[in-house]
Amino acid sequence: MSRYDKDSLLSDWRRRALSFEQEIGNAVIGLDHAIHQITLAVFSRGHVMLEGDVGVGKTTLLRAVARGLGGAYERIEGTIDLMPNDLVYHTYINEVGKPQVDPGPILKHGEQLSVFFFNEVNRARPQVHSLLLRVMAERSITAFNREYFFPHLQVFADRNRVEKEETFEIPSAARDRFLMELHIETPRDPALRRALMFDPRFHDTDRLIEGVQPGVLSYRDIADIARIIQVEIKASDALQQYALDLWQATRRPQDYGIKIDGVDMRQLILAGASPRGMSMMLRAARVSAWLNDRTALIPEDIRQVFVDTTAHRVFFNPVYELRRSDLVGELMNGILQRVAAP
Amino acid sequence: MRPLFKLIFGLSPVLLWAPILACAAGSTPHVESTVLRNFGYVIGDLVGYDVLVTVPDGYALETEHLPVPGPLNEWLDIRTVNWTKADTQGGTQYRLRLTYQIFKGVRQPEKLTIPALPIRFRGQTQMEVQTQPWNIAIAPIIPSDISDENIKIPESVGPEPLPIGPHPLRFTSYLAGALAVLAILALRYGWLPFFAKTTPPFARALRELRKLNRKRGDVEAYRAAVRLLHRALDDTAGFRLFAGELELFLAAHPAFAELRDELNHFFALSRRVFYTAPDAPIPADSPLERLETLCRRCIAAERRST
Repeated sequence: MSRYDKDSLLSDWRRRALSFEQEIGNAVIGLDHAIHQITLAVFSRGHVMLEGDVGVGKTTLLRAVARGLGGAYERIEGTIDLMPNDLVYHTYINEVGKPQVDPGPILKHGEQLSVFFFNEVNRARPQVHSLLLRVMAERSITAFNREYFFPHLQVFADRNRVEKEETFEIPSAARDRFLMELHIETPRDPALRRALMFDPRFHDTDRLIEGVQPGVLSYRDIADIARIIQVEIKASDALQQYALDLWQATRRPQDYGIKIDGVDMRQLILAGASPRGMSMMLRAARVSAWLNDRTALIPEDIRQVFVDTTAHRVFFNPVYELRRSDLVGELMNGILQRVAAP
Repeated sequence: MRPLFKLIFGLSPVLLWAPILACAAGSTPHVESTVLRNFGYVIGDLVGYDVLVTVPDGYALETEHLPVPGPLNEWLDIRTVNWTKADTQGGTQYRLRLTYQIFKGVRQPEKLTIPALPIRFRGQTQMEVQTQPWNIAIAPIIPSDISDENIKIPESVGPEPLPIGPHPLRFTSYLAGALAVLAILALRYGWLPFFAKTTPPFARALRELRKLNRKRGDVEAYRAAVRLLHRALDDTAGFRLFAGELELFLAAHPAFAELRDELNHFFALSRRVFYTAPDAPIPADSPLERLETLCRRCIAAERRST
């Protein structure tokens, strides 16, 4: 592919990405940050975990994303008695009275599957988490004596943070495979809140989703364009140093003068961000640079994705893990405020 | 028979005490005294006196009974009383060392008697030994044919002046040296927060910028200069300042508001130099002088805001 073709391809896709963002923003209001980050995740080929309160629009957002991407969409609800097999096949007695085995939600659409939404993932058992782990890491699954591949699959999971009973915390290995963990909150803007309450447009979700233009991005081509983006966006030495400093700061925040009230910084961190996490962060940052029409990374690209790609990969000592939701925000802010660039 | 009974009854207390008395008699303390000399003393002299007392086992010196330093009679004082104890084969040996001082003014040589000293020991019974009184000879300090009034006491000899000139000088130089070393260490390890505070960030940055002036044209020096300005901005803001937060910074530090365009240009320049075109030469529109000018204007803003 010539230089000109590449450039025009990239700018063409940039336009489509921006209109994708806009289409979803029309349907789901007040979640601009989440929509932008999901767009970055789509082009980084990464899976996304959503966490938030009940009824803030997580499912609506994902349905809109799935429609914008095109391809098949499947969702499953995590429950305590859900078993891995329930995802893979489905057994029943058919209309002629014979037992029949059909492919389950994951296999049903074969390679067409583009968005798989696992609702309330922390209600599912660890066996299901490990299946999910494989699907996310390898985009493949073994069933009916053969391997199935899902080259276009993007997994979205949702974790309800209100209840803790009958839930299974997702193992750190599985969390690490999510590119981003996004926190979805109720919009703060009173005008948006008023619209959500009184505008009938937002009361009928199905209709709202139908308003999204289907297949703004063609899901089949995303893998290729994602590869080109990663190759085309350059990172200078100074930027690499900044990314390295950020990584080191997640491991030894005390070296960067980061302080949190009432926390012994030397004791806080059990494990800092993983190398996989850092490579994912850079992938997302490159997409951010591309969306901003740049060919080189700048620190702002990394800062744009740092918290969402890194916060869930830092593990605290058990004594601080209970206060995680408070501490992790302060730690991430501290890192962004203390690590210098250039 | 009656007289015999009377005799036995009469003697019974003696007979009962006999073994104890015999025991006490067999363990008489041994006293030995030593004096340096007993002649040649004058008024004010100290007289040393050593007493060595060996007592049987089971006896201990009653220290409360020892004389206390102070006047003994009108012409004799006790100055010090010391004692030591040593265990020997025959018993316990106490060595008392007393120092007397004589205050007797005489016209003719005289013989004085230092009184006996009682020393008590505590044991099964109480035991007391006496040192022998002893004589010393004391002489007058002025000839006998000259009356006291005719004695002239000359003025005391003043101290010999010692050359002390070099000492204050040496002391001052040591002190200065120690202070200099402390100051260097303090600077090195940042123990002087008030120094850092008193020099505002941009004033410090300008000092460093001037050093870089010598390497004009060197890309690395140029980048170091950009970094210096970044750090000064960070220190002023209190956090790492990025281009996106410039408006926030200007709102918090209105003195810098007039530098908005120049600061925007600076951030764009920094982005170009470090990230988007790291291999390009120094931008022609922004030589080192421009950074220095910006720094000076920031110093002015810094002064306005304090």
